[in-house]
Amino acid sequence: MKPQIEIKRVYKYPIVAVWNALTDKEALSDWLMETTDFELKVGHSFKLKTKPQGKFDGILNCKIISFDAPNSISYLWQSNGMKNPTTVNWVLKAISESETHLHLSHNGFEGVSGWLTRQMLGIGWKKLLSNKLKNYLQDEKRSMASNS
Amino acid sequence: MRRDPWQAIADPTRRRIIEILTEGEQTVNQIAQNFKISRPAISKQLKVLQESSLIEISTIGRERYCTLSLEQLKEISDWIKNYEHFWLSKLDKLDQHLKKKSRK
Repeated sequence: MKPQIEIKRVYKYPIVAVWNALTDKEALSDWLMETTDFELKVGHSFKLKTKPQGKFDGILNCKIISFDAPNSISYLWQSNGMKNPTTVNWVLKAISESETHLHLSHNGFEGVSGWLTRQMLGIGWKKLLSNKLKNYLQDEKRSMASNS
Repeated sequence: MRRDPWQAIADPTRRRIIEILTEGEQTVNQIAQNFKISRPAISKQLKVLQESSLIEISTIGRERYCTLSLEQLKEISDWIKNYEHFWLSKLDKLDQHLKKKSRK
């Protein structure tokens, strides 16, 4: 299955430093979200907390699926708005002693958003894009550009 | 009454109706022809979609015309995009975190 979100980055730090940032409670609380119960253990459940926003209550329920220190870690990721949990995967690769390639993928957005993505790729959506929505999005882009 | 659009599109029949309407405006009768279920059942589903602001229904003469409401759909489709923004900003924060740690 193709990941629905895929981001690649290079960090100018050793692989162990990046790995620690991904798997240490205090580090995660510093850059990702507050967590008090993270433990690097397969099957362990932990919570990430952030500010509630709209219908989102601010809590991510996570569970470690697998890890291979210091190369990869995968966990389930579910908010109150998600019917099924999604999966967050981190893969690290040392480029040199002081450079690390990071590959983040977040997938499993099933149901509603998956359907919408398919719709947007479908012919029906293309027809729609060719008229009303296109203008609408252009206006949006313009207003976004003028805001930034 | 304002309904939750996420709940509205959780139902396969209603999703199919949206798919049909991506082709353009359709009357209630035209929509109903695509389904085996009764017309009143379709009307009920259309009402749910209308109450979630996903479609607009206007009556012209004896016909009721349905069109998609693009803004509401866009809001939903932005959801994945928002998640991507979330990760991009978090990955910047990770860089800041690493910088902070390496200084210590």
